[in-house]
Amino acid sequence: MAIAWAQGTKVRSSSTLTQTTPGLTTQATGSTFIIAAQWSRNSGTFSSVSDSKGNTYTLIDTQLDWDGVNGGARLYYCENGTGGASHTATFTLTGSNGPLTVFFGEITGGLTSGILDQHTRREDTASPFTLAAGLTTTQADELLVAFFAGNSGSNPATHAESGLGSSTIQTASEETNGASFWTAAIATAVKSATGTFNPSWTESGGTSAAVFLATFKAAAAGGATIYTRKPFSSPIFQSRIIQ
Amino acid sequence: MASVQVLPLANYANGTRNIGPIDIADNVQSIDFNIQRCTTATPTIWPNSTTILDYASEMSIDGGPWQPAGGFTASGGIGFDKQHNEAPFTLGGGTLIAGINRQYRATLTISGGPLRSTATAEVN
Repeated sequence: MAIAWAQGTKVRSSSTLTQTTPGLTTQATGSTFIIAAQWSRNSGTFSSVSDSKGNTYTLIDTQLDWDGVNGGARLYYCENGTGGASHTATFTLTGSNGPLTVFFGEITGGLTSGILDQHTRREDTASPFTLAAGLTTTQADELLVAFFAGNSGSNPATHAESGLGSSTIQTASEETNGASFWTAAIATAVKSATGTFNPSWTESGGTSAAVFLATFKAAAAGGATIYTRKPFSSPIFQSRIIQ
Repeated sequence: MASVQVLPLANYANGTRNIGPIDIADNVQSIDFNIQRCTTATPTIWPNSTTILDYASEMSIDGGPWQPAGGFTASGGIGFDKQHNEAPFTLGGGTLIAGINRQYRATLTISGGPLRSTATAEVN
């Protein structure tokens, strides 16, 4: 099975401490799960992240504090997690109630150990919003997951991503109501060959953004087609080797 | 967008209250719960930080099993919006799964109450 962003969902509020996403029906085993969140640091402080299946999540890089004292953003993954019906994710803050946007997604077809390859993040204060430099993947067939956290006050705020090449903004994991909530989006792309990739986001009404990129390895890299001459005879025959 | 009052202004005691189930039109994409909060101008509304509201929603598609549709936990007292101004409301919810013959229901659980407020459901 090829690596893919299988599905995602979101939850957001204008002023809370804890958010639980809608449920997904996820694979029983073998999937990698993603949780991405942004909130107001001058209201709440990160407390915990969890899901309804008891999985353990690993923070990718570190929390990104951005947009002055307002924005906080985190990106998590859990490889080879336990899944099933009504699979939800919960993100909890302490302090005062404030706005919080949370995404939850499933990656299928990835490695069940060592799936995370490249990753980084930064705040960019000039559109288009990018990383300082692109990331170079180390194997063919990687899934790029770009998380964008914006500060637009528009409703709807529109998002576009053009740096990854044929990426898809996952509309189930996109918040466009900047009047009430933190705006954010996830874009994904599967790359059949190694390369250097740098997301390039625009957001209507946005003046600053947190940009994350994480790349995930497929369970089996794409096969290389080679041609072998049969000894002492022709014709040529073809075999496919799965690396 | 349509707004429907689901809780008139009143003091709500500790415990669990159920909203729905209600039928959802096929083109509805989200339902947000919108409850009034304490501000400097409205000090009698949900004033105590020890009063906790847990909102949990579920949906069913075409008679199928109920599944989580998003929720939140909020405490009373003054909360803030994106601009760090006092937030007059907590507005929150999740994305509804597309489908036909959908139904939606929610459970409100209050602890540390009573909770004095009013709430609407915002349908988009």
